[in-house]
Amino acid sequence: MRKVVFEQVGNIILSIILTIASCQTVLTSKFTSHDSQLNFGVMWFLLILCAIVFSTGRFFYAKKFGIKDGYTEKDGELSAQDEREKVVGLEAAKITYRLLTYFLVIVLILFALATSFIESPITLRLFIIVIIGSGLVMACLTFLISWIVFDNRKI
Amino acid sequence: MVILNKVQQFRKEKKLTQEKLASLVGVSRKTIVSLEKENYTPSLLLAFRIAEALSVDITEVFSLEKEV
Repeated sequence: MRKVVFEQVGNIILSIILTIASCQTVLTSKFTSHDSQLNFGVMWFLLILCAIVFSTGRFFYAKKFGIKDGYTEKDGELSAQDEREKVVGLEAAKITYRLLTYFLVIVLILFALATSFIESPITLRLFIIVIIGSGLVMACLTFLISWIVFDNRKI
Repeated sequence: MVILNKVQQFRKEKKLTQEKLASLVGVSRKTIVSLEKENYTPSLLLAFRIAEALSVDITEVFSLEKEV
């Protein structure tokens, strides 16, 4: 369980920072018919820093607990110590897939309707970024919760 | 149909801990716990490995209960 919590918490933090960094870029960049200026704020720096810290953490985690927990950097949250954990991972992935499919259907409808209630192009861009970022966080969180639930119940 | 098992009974007879049995058959202790609680149905390969580790026939450890 520890490896999945480690992986998914890291993924969730990176997803949140990426979403905030993207929003910051949209808010600070200027696009006109004559000129365009793309600005990268401090959140992008934080994202790179967190990505480096997380990658290093994964490397050391794999070295320290890899053999005991059946964790590999390549497989990440899908790493499995034995056949039961493979089944647990598969069931969690199934739940995540289903939820993500429903989420995408709702997002599709929201995007189709968005133009009727959002007039500002900047707000529309932010809306899209926040929705996609939320989807990423939701997918990671769903996999984490499902994994913990299936790990402790009859499968 | 449900697969019943006597893993806990044979393990205790052999004076093996869950940790030891887990390492003998190459799974985590949690998998042995799940097996003993009948929360997990093992693969045929794992069932054979457990029977071998407990030095009993596979049919003595695992049996099929037909639902009425």
